[in-house]
Amino acid sequence: MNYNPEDPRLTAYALGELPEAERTAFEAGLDAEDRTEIEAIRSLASLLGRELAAEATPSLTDSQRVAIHHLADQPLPKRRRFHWVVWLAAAASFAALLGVFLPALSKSKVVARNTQPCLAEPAVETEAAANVPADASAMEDNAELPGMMGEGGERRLAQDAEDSRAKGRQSQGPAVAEPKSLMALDRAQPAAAPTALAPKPPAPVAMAVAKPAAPPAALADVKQLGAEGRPRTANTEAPAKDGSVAVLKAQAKILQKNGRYADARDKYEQVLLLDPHETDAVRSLRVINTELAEVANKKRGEAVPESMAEVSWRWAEPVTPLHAGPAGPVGGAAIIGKNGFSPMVGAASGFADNIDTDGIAGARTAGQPQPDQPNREAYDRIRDNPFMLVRQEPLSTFSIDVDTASYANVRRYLQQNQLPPPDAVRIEELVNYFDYAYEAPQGERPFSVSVDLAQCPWAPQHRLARVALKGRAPDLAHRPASNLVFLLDVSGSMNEPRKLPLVKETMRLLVGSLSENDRVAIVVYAGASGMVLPSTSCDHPETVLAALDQLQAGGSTNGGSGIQLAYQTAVANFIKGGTNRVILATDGDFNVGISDRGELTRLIEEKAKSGVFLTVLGFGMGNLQDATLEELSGKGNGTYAYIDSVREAQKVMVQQLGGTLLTIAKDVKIQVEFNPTRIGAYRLIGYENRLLAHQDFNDDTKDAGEIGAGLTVTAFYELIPAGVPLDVPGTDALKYQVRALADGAVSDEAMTVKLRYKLPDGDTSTLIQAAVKDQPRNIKEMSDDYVFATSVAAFGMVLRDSPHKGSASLALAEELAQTGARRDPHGYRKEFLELIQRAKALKK
Amino acid sequence: MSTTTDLARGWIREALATYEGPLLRYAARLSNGDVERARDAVQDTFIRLCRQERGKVEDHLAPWLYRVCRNRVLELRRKEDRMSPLDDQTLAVHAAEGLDPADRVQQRDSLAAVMSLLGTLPPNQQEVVRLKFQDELSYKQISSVTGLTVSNVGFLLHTAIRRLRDGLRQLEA
Repeated sequence: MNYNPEDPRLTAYALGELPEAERTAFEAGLDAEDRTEIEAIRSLASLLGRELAAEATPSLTDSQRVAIHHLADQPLPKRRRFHWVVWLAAAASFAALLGVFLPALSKSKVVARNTQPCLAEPAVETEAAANVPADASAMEDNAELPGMMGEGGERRLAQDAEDSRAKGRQSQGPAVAEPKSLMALDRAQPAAAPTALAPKPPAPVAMAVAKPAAPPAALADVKQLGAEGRPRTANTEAPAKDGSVAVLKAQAKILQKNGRYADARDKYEQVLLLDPHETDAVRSLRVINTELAEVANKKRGEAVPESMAEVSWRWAEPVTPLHAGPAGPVGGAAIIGKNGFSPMVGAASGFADNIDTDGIAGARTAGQPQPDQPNREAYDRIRDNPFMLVRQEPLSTFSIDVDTASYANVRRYLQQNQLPPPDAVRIEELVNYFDYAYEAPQGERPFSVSVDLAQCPWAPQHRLARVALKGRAPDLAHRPASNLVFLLDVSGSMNEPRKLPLVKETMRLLVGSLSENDRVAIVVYAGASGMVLPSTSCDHPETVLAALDQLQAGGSTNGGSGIQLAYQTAVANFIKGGTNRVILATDGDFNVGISDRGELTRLIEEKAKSGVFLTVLGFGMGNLQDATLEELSGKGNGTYAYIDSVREAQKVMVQQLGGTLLTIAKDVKIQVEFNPTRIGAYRLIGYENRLLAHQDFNDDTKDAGEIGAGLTVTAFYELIPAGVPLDVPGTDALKYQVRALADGAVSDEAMTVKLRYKLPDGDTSTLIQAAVKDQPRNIKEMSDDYVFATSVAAFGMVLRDSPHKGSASLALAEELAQTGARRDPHGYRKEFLELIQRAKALKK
Repeated sequence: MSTTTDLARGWIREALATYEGPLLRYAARLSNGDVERARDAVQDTFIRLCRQERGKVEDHLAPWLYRVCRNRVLELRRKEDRMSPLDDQTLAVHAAEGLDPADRVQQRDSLAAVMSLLGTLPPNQQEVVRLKFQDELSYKQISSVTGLTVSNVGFLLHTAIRRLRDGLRQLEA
């Protein structure tokens, strides 16, 4: 079978859903087995179609249908009629209001023009928002489906403009602007409107109705008083149109500034209807459209959570509840409230539908202020590896690491517009986050090793050596049975949107990929620890999913006894030759019972000997005990990932399921010996907390990192070639010994790389070694992956403000990343480029 | 004037006639079998349709209707179900039971088999399978209705189909 049976393109092709170009390419690769598979899919599809069509369809009640028909029979633009009524009201209350507004106007015409539309809008919105949100989202109707927005706005406004013009009104602009708000008002409060129309009413409703009427009336008046031409308007059309254009533009600018891009765009479109060559509007429209497109793409790209209800409604309002605390306002209200707008404005948009392409959502996620909670995150101090003289320290030994938590964590900081603390940046985890197309291993070996030498981008006289490992691809269809124990922290500190609900979603994604050969048990720890679900097979995942759903947070954390119980369960259900894992999900806050970090790690070390592996998933912020979690995973034969979003959960649990579940080698250690005739000094970039004593390399009792199926490991050495002047501190010459060169030194080899690994259930290690010739290549000749990885390393060094960063800068990282990001199947590289942008903005 | 209104607005009656049943079926599934809520949501959907200009929605009427209906159902759930966070669980359970007890009597064996297998899938896969095979939307349309990316949709469908096939094979064995 040419294609992997898991390849979704098989179904897409079978159903005729592959786009043309892809289809021909795909078709060309089909072999006989693939075709049988496709036939099977097609016949199932038609079976499903047939059977599902037979399912009964309920029907509306007669009265419901009649109500719809009644509405359907009425013509569409009802606003016109209410126009008349409101203008009458305006005329009636005009005399009274003129007395209020004229003095303000004559003081400063420009200010009045700007503030009145500004005041009118939210006041009107207040009314609309006070009622069923469905009405206020009339504007969002067309915002829901992308591609329809521009047209919709134009046509609706074209119609309005026509209507207004047909009536021969002077000040058309504001009048056109009103119908939307008035329409909302009308639908919302048809009963209130009549009362609002009574002259000089004290009620705020009247003010709301009257105020928007006042500016056009007042403007007409101002014109009559011989006001000067509006500033910034370059056209020479009739003065009536000038006024409206300026008002609209003013309104649009305010909307744009407040992030209400869709509304601002509507206003600019109205301007263009009146004056097609209004340059300001054209320019601003272009800016807004790109802004909106970006927001839309980002939202869609963020992979809206796959579970409905519980997760989706909580996630419609990201992050904000953290700032306000548990009792704070939810949704845009918290942000917009800080800008002095009526909190009801936010509430109205808080009901926006899932894909909210209006800029408000963008404003919510961008530019978030710092969390108000005290930041108790804990990171271990990391000192960058310095340059070592080859003459004195010819060996470099370290354990591999496939953790990716640091990248996700750094991303989380930058997306909240904060620079991450330097100690949170572990360069090897940033580099290893990405997927590289390294050569697959041949034969029986679990992984392939290769070393490439090239010029160093941030120090032209130096070189970079990249050590690259690639694990064997996972065969998920035939993977061994697994015995998993979810060890979930349900203490009180997990009771936040990015903690427990995200934990549940992450586990659901994992369960979604399991089948009848897999068993899952759920153990929780908080105050008391307990077994929520004994080891259950996944042939009926509903049981597991139901148990997950019922979890609630509360109590303090007692990690220790939870860990005992989890490992006991795992050992009790041990599957020989299968995957046996404890998956720990927590924010790292162990504060009851075995809270001493040393004791905790000793416990884990002990448990690791049972043959059960560990995956640590970190969640949340403000309390992330990164140092503890990193150490636990290291000591526990495991990996550590940080889950900051559903997208990251999908990466770890779905895309890289093989890597997460299937360990192909453990205790993988690397030792490099450098040739002093070729290399003067070297520096290992990253891996500071993975260094091993040189004698540990051959000592099989010493623990090291593990590698999962399909994963890659990348390590960079920065090399100073022999002959280049060095400024590296060294020790005095020895008194009792002389270091002489061996015969092996006279060669064209720069270094020899040795690697030891054990099979997952093995106890003795296997050695691989390879010599690397001293033939550095120009950076331009290197693959996109190489260049991209150097970019990430440079980025990491800049974020850490490393003393060895040379001429590395964010600009350099960006340049390298742009070359390297050409191949970007999941969009992570593009996301990385965005992070560089954010870092640049923050560093200013 | 009234003749043009009839012609222009008759499309809404047509849309109602065509989509009332399927939308209700879809909405009922989304609301865990709560037909009353489904009716409210579908009625609101059509009311909103009445406020749209024909030209703006006509060429993508089906995804528009499903999209609005879905959002409305979720909105109603949000507002009315704040107290019960077990929606996914109940959804999974109800999914296996079918819409209406009365309907089950009339189901043929093959339908029962497919429906029960379908019920074992996670709710998101079920939704996508129904949208594709029952409501006959394309990947792109499903993507715009649910808010998932097209590749997400493809992945879910493929996984669901594989599971269903395995399930059917086991039943026959």
